[in-house]
Amino acid sequence: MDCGEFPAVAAELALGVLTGRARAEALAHAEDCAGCRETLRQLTLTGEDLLQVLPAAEPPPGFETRVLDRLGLPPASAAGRRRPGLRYRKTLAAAVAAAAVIAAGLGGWGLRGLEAGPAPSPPLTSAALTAGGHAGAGEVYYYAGSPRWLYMWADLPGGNGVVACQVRGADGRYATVGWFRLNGGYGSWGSPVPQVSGPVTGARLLGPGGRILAVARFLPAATGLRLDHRAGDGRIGAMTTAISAGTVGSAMLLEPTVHPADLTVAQARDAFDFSRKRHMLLLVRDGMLLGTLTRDDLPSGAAGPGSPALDFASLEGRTVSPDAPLAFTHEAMCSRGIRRLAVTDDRGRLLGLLCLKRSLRGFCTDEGVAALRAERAR
Amino acid sequence: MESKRRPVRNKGPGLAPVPAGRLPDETLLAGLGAGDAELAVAFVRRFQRLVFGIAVTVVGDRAAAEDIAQQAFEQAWRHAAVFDPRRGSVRAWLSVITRNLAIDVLRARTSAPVDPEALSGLLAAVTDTPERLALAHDRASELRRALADLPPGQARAVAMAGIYGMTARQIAETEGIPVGTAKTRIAGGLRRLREAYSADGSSPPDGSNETGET
Repeated sequence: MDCGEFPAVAAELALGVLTGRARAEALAHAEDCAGCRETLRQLTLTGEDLLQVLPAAEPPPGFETRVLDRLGLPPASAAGRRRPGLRYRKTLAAAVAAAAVIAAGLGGWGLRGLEAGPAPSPPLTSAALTAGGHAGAGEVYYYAGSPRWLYMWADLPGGNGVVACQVRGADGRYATVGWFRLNGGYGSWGSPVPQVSGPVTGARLLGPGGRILAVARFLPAATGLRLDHRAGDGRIGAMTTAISAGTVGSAMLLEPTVHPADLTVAQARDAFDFSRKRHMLLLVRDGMLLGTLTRDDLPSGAAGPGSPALDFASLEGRTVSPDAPLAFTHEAMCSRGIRRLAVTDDRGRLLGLLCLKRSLRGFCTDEGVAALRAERAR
Repeated sequence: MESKRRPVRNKGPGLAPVPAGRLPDETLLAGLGAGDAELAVAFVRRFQRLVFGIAVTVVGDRAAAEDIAQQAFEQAWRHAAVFDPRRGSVRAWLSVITRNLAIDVLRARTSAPVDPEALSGLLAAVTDTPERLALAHDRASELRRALADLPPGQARAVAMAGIYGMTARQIAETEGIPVGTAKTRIAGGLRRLREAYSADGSSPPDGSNETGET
C-alpha cells in the first residue's frame, strides 16, 4: 500500500470497520508514513467525537447499584462510610500511578498508538505520610498535569473531625489546599491544587489548633517516582521490595514467541493447545505488534476456524512501555489478574513480553523459558 | 449611594473540600480501578447517561443496552490501570469501549444491524440544531452542522460504519449500492466531517450529551 491508496481505506480503518489483510496493510503503511499517520489520527478523533454527540439516555432505575454490585463494591449509600481495606488503598496507589506512567504503546484504544511523538507524561509523584516519626499514616499523590491535583488517604488512629491539608512549595512555604473529615481515623480526599506556583515538594495535615498530624515529603522530580511501601503488610511489602527497582524493560522477555499477523483462528487454537502456559499470542508483522490474543478472545464453538485471528485480537490494556516503573506495573498486574503484557515502543513496535510468574512473586526470564523448552524437548 | 451589601469575604487561600463528583475524570477512573467505592460511584454517575445513551442507540433495546453499559463500566474498572491519559480523554475511551461492546452484540444477531427508519431518526436527532445550538461554536455544534451538511448517502454511510460498526460490504447490501460506492461514501463523509471542524480542539464535544456531574 502507498500514500495514493491509503486515503481510500483510512476512514474505514479509523472507524474500526476495516478487517483482515486490508487492515494489516493499511496499518503497516501508516507506521512508515508520518503524513498518513496524522491523517489517520485526525479521522480517528473525528470518529470518536461522533459517538459523543449521540443522545444521552437515562439508564433504568437501580442501574448504578447493579454496576457497583457487579464490581463487588458497596452501594452509593454506604460508599461514604466505607473504610477501604489496605489492599484497596494499595491498588489505588498502583492505579493512580499507572494511569500516569504506563505508556500503553498501541494500547489505550483504537489506533492512537500510531500517533507521532507522544508528549512527555506529566509527572505523578507520591510519598508516604509520616506521623510521630513513623511512616504508614497514609499516602499522598500529586499529579503535575493540567489541572494539577492531589489525592491522599490518611489513617490516623484516634483522629476524628476536620483536618486541613497543606502543600509545600519549592520555597518551603505551606499553602492550605482544603479540608476533609476523618471518620474513625480514616479519610480520603482529592482536590485541584491551584494555590502553589512551581513544584510541590511536600504536604502535611493539620488538626485543631494547627497541630501537625502528619507530613509527607516528595523526592525531587529528578529522582522520579517514589512509592513508600514500608506501611504495607508483609506480603505485599515483600513482593514489591523484591522488584521495586528498575523498569519494565529490565524484566521483560527479549525473545518471546510471536505469531504472524495472518494467523487463523484454528492455528491460534492449536498454539494455545500446544502449551497450557501460553496465555497470550502476539500477532506481529514486520516487527509491529498488530494484536494480542487470549483464549477468551477466540470465538466459542467451532465457528470460523479459517477466519483471521487478528479480527478477534485486541491491544487494549495489554501493552506497556519499557520505561514504566516495574513496581507499579507489578501491582497493576496483580490487582487486575493480568499475567502478560506486551512491551512496545511509542510506535507500537514489539520489544518484548512481560511475563508474571504464577506465584505473582517475580517475572519469567529468557533463561528460565529456554530451560523449560529444553526440558520439554527431552 | 454605597451598597449596603457586604462583599463576599475572602476566606484565604484555602478551598472547601472538593466532592468526588468534581474530581478530574482521570482521578475518578483511577479510583474506580482501585475499588474505591466513593470514587467509583462518582465515576458511574458522571458517565452513565453517556454510556447508556451510546449502548441504546446502537442496539436499540434497553435491556440489552443495560447489560452493555454494565459491561462497559466493568471493562473500565478492569483496564483503568493501563489507561493512558496522553492518548485521549477518559470520555472518548469509555465511549469507544461502549460502542465496541454494543457492536459485538449487534454482530451476534442474525437480523440486519440497523433499521433504516431508526437510522433516519437518529440522524435527524443528531443533526437537529435549534437556534440556540446553531449559533454555538463548540465542537459538538460544529460536528452536528457538518453532519447535517453532508449528502444524505454519505451521512448514512458514516453513521452506519462509525456508530453501528458496519463494514463497507454490509452498508452496500443495506443500501443496495456497490461496495466501491459504500467505501467512497465512508471515506468522503468522514473526510468532510474532519475538514469541517477541528477534531483536535481542547474541549470535548459535549453538546446535548453528558454535562459532567450529575
